[in-house]
Amino acid sequence: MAQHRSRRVRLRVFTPDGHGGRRLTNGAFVLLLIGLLGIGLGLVLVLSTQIQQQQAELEELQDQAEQASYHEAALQGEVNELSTTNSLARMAAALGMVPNTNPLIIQMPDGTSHGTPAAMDGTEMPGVVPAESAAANPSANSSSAGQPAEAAEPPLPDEQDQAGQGDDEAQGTDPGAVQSSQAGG
Amino acid sequence: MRLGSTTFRLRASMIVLVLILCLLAGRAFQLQGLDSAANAQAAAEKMTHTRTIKATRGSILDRNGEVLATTQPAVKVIADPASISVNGYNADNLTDQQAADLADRTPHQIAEVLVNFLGGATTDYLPALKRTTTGDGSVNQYEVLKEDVVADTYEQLRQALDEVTDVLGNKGLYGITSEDDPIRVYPSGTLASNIVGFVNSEGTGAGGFEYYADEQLAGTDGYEQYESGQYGRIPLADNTLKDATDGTTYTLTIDSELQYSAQQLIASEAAKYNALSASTVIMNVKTGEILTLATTPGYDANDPGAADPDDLGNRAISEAYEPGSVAKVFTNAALFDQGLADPDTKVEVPASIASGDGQIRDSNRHADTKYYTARGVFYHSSNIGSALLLRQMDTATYQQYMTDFGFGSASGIELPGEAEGYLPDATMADYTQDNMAFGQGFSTNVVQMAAALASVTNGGVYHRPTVVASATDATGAAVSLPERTSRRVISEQASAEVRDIMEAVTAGGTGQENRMISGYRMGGKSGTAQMIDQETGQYDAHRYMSSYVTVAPIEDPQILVYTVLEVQDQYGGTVAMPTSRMLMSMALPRYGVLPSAEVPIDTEPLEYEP
Repeated sequence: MAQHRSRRVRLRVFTPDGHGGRRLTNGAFVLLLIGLLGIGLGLVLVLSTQIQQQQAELEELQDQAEQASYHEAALQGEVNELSTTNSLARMAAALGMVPNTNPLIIQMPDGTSHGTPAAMDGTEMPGVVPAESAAANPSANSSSAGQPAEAAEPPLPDEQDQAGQGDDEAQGTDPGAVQSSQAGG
Repeated sequence: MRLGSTTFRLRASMIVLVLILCLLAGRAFQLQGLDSAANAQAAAEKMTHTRTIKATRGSILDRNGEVLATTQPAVKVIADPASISVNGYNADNLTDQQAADLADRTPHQIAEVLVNFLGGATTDYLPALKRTTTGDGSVNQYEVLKEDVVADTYEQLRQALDEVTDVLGNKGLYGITSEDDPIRVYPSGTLASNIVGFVNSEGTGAGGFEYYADEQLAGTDGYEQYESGQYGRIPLADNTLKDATDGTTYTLTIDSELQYSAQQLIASEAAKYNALSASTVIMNVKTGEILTLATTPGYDANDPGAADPDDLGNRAISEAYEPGSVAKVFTNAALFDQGLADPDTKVEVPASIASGDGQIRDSNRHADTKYYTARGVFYHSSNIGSALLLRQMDTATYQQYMTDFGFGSASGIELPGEAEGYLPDATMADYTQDNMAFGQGFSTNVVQMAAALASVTNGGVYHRPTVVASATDATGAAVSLPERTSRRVISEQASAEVRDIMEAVTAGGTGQENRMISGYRMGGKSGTAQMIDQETGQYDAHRYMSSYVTVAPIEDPQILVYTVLEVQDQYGGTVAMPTSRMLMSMALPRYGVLPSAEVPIDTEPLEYEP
């Protein structure tokens, strides 16, 4: 205890002289503050510029995504239009196809067939073939489809049979499913 | 105290500071204390902007996913003529010559680009583009150039405008903007338009299913609230986003291809027989699902305004009529179920019978007494025989059967404007029951009729008819639909007996081959009912509702086709039968219904020896 006391550092009066070396001069302090402020401001500037830039980038990308979605919607609209029954019927009629009300049905997976397919003459379902293509049809029919069809009339059921089977093989992944061939004669 | 003394300077600064602080505090008090709410609101309003995020209306699909109605992004193209006249430059920085050149040339340049993408001629757009002042002399910054422009087309238009060099040699033309304005598209147009319906110019359902399910289809709009200043949106500022909830997408039970065939066929048959209107319905008798509901005349859903307003509804639902002889199916169904008759019950049919103040006669007049079985009464469609058979049943029991079959109340099909029809109450007069035995004295719509016919032929269970197969919300999750009720109305045995007599109509007797489809056993019944003249309230002797129902395969019915035509002096067996038969011949293989192994010749007795 006594030793401690003797070793105790003596207090002395601290005279702020401004030149102690451990303190900054006024000018340096101000410079330091200005420096810190400058760095801070600089960082904020960089940060906000970056945010602004990213925001701009984001907006542009969103814009692009939107444009792409508009384009997709327009293309989807075309697909919808082309895949409607109305347009398919028109296209089928232009090819000379008619509804088949008497198809051959093949039962999967054993492949037994039901029904007696017969060539359709197009009058079985009056009005179902669109009028505009029916009007355009006779010329196409007589020139290309009409003549060979006459010659090929007897083998037609056979062809249809094969077509029906081919169709079923392609889709016959679902066992037990009943497939019907709607191919026009 | 010297002027230059430190003390003086300190005090002076203090006083100045206090004054400034007082001023600031006063202002702060004024802003925050006196009228804070209004001030804060005014500030927020100045910075905060709200943008509505429109919900996308749900699509309507057919049972195989074919799109019947969908919404496409589209815009209104807007011009700002004031900006166009200077092409976006600050007018103060332009020389008079430049300003004059710009005002003269820019509208033309823009009009040329517009023509390329929006069609029309430059003269269609120039007047609007040059209208820099409105009628009252103020600056005009808003001219709608075109509506319903596909968004993709507009984007291309914008890019093209950016590529044009203006008269000052700079790239880009300014002053064309857009507003979102999605359009409803019906890719198939006329196909199933009487079911799908249409929307009005505000995009709200105005007809058919679009109207019936408008709320669910529409979804809920969202909004975005953000703060922005002079240079656009303020990053990291307050931003509230509430996404729109897109509408429900519905899959209908309608089969587009069958619907198409039915529409084409019914239109052609209606024209052939000079029918004023016609309807045909194809139903899955096991479920009550409507596969096809075609009416004529119809309309194009993309342009409902072009059609006769009378044709914008759905006659098969909105028009009630007396069904005529097809209703004899129900007379027999009730009798068979009560055990009061069977197909071989013997009926003595005189030339006429008295009923109330009048006489009942058969449409095929006969002077002698006929000896028919109940099957024969049905086959010959004898009014007298049917009335005589039904006289065994009291009116209350019969009325209950008819109520169970769905008459007198709306079927609940998911389409607007259903006519409930009329069914007399249980205390009806005996002559009313006599009339109802052959399809007069009560009224029904086509769908009610089809559902009732399905119930008595499918084994005796009534299924509420429906056009909705399923629904999914915007995330693709299934939306539960109201449960459909089913109820037994007659016994299996009675239903089998009904099918027995219906088969006799298509296959019994002689010379009925034209009613049949090779390879299938089928049942049918024709009906021809005089229509009531709306003006006189009397039956019109020449206007008929002629109908024919066919059910197949009769040993285990799957499909029912019921056709009604409004014609003059022509019978259901002649005008409606072909449509029903042809559609049946298309529907059976389409739904994988196999032909019967053998079709027996129907030799069940139609008459008996007294």
